[in-house]
Amino acid sequence: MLDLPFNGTSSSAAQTERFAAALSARLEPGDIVLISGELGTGKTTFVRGAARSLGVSDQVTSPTFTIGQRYAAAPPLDYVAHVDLYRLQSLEHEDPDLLADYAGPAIITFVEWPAVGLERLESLGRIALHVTLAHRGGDERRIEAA
Amino acid sequence: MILAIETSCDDTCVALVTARGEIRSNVISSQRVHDRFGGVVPEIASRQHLSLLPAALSEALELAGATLDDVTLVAATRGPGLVAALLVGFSAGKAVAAARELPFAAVDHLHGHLAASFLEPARLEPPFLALVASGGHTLLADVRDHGPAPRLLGQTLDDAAGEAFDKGARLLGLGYPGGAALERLAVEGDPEAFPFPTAARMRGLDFSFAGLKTALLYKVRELGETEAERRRADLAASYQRAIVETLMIRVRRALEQTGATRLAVGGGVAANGALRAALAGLGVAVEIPPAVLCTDNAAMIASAARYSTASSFPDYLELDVYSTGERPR
Amino acid sequence: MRVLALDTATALTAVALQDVDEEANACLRDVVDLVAVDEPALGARPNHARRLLALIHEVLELSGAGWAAVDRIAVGVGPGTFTGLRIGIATAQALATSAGLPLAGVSTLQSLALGAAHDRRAVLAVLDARRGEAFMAGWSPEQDPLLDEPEWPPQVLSPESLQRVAAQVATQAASQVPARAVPLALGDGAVRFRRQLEAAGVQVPPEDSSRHRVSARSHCRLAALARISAVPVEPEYLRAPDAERTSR
Repeated sequence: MLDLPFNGTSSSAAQTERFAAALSARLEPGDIVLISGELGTGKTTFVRGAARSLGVSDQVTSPTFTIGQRYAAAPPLDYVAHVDLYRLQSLEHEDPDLLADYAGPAIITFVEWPAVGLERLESLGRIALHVTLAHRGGDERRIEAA
Repeated sequence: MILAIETSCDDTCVALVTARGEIRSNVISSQRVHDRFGGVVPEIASRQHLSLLPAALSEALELAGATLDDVTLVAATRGPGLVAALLVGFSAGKAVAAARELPFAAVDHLHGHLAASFLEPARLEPPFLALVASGGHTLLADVRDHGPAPRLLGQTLDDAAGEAFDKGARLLGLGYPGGAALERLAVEGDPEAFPFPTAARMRGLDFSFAGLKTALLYKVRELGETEAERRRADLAASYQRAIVETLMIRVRRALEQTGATRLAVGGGVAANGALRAALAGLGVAVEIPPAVLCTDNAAMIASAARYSTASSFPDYLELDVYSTGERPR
Repeated sequence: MRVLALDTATALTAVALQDVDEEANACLRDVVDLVAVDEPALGARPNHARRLLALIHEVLELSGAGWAAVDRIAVGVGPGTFTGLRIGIATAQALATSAGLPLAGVSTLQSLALGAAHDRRAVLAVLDARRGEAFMAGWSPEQDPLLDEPEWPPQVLSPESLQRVAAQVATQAASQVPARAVPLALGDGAVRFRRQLEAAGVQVPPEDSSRHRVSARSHCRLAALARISAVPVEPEYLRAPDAERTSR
C-alpha cells in the first residue's frame, strides 16, 4: 500500500496502471475515488489499473458516452463503477438517480471530471481518494493522490 | 409487422419493418437542443424522448399506412446507452406490447448496428466482417450469422472513434457535434502536415484513440494560440487522417486474419468522407448502408429483433435496461 | 367509471383499479378495489422499471376482466424523481394508446392531500425532493383538495423556505373565526422535514401512518373528475435541467 499524500511520476501507461493498483489497496466497498486531469492524462488508464486490481476482468473503456459503466468485480464488491462527468455542466439539476446505479455499499466508484458534482458525490459515499494527473511532456505524467 | 423503438442517446426513433425486413417507416426525431451545450445532456435527452415519443409513434404508423392492429412483435433498445433515456423507449415498448399481449424483443444496440445490414432492399447475408464506429462504440466483429452474439474481434480500449472526433473538435475550438465540423475544416487542410499517432505498434485488433487525443493537445500547445489558429485546417486534416488510419490498420489486419471478402460498416462515423475514401481502396466489397441507417435509428432495432429471441407475454414485464453489456453476477 | 391508476413519483410503485362513482366521487360503487404497492428495500433504489407493468398485470388479472374492466387510465405526473416520472408516464401513454383508452394526468401532491380531505383543515402535501429539498403544495381549510387548485401551488423548497411557507399556512388557519385545527402535513417529505413543519405549527402524523404514502386509489378519484385533454400528459418536474438554466 502506498502512503498518502502520494506524489509520483509515471513514464508509461503500464506504470500508471501499477500506481493505480497500489493506491487501490486502501479502498473499501462504498468508497468513491475522484480523478482529475486534462484530456489525455490517463484517467481511464488509471481506472483500468485500479479496476483490474479489484478483480475486474472485463475491458475498461471510456464511459463518456453513457456517463457511467459498471464492471463485475471480486467479492466483497459487486461492482467497480466508472463514471465520467465530462459532458455535464453540473449535477445540480440532473436527475438525482443519474448516478444511482454507480454508487452503493458494494461498489467502488471512480469518477472522472468530478468538479461539476462534488457535493452530490459526497452524499453518495466516502470520498476516499482524490487523484490528480498532469502532463509532464511525452508519456510522462505526474500522479498525485490525497 | 415489427414495431421498434430506440431511445439510447439523443434521437427519438420509431420504425415499422415487415417480417421480411422491408422498412415501412423509419422516423427519427433528432433533438437539436444539445448542440449548444457541447454534448448530449442526459436529463434533457430523457425529457425530450418523453415529449417526442407519442408523435413519433403516430407518425411511424401513419407513414407505414398501418395501425397497431398490424403489429405482431414489439422491440425496443435495452442498452447500452444512457439509462434514463433508454428507460423512456423501453418502458413504452413493453407497455405497447403488454396492452395487446404481443411478444416483445429486448434488443442490444450493437446488434442493431450490425443488423442494419440485414434490411431490404440492400440485404447483406453473413458471413462478413463488420466495423461499427460511432460516438459510443468502436468495434470489429466477425459476423457469421444474424444473431445477437457475433464474434467480437476487437474494440476500443479507451475512447470511441466518434468521441475522438468530438474531443478533437473541442481542442480545436469547433462546435458540437464536432465530427462534421472537423471534417469540413479538414477539407482545406494538409493531412500529412502533422504525423499524429495511430497506435500502429499495438498488436491485435483493438483500437486506441487516447494517445492521439493527447498528441493533438500537445501540438496545439506547442504551436501556440496564433499559430494553432492559423494551421487549424492542417491540424484537423492530420487528426482526421490519424483516426481513419487507426481504424483502417485494424480493418486490414482483420480482413487478412479472417479472409473475409466483404466488409459492412455502420455507426455515425461511417458518414465520414475520408473514411469512405479509404475503405473504397481496400479491394474488398464494402457495404455501407444509407446514412440514415448508419446513425441511430429504430429500423435497425426492428431488423435485429427478427433475429433475437422474443419473450412472449407476460414474460417480459419485469425486464430492465442496462447502460453497458454488464450483467449482475 | 373504472379507473386504472399508477404512480411512480416516489420510491413506491403504486397501482390501483377502482370503480368510482362520478356523482358522489368519494364513494365507490360496484367496487373493484384492487391495490398493489411495491416498496423498495431500505436504501435500495426504486424498482419501477421492473415492477410497474407486472403490478398492472396482476391487478388486471385479479379483476377477472382484463382491459375490458378499464374505462380510463390515470398516471401521477409528480412532482417526484425524474426517472420515476418518465417510466410511469411513458408506460401510461403507451398503454392508453395501445389499449385505446383515455389518459388523465394526476398531481401526485393533490392525490396525497386527499388523505386529509375530510379533516376540514389546511393540508400540506410534502414530498422528499432529494438533495435536501422538498416538493410542496398547500390547500387552505376552506378548499377541497379533490376539486380545488392549491392556494400554495406546487413548488420546490429548501427546508428553511418550507418552514416559512408552513408558518404562513398555520397563521392563516389560526386567524380564521372560528379558528381551525392546526394544519396537517402528509407525505414522505413531511416525515423527512418533521422538525421544520412542527416548528411552524403544523402537525405531522406518525411516520408509519399510511397517509404519508402515495395512494393510487386517490389517483382514481381525481382521474374520474378530470377532463381528458388532447395534449399529451407531461411530468411536473418543477426543476429545470441545469444546462437549460445556464444557457439562458
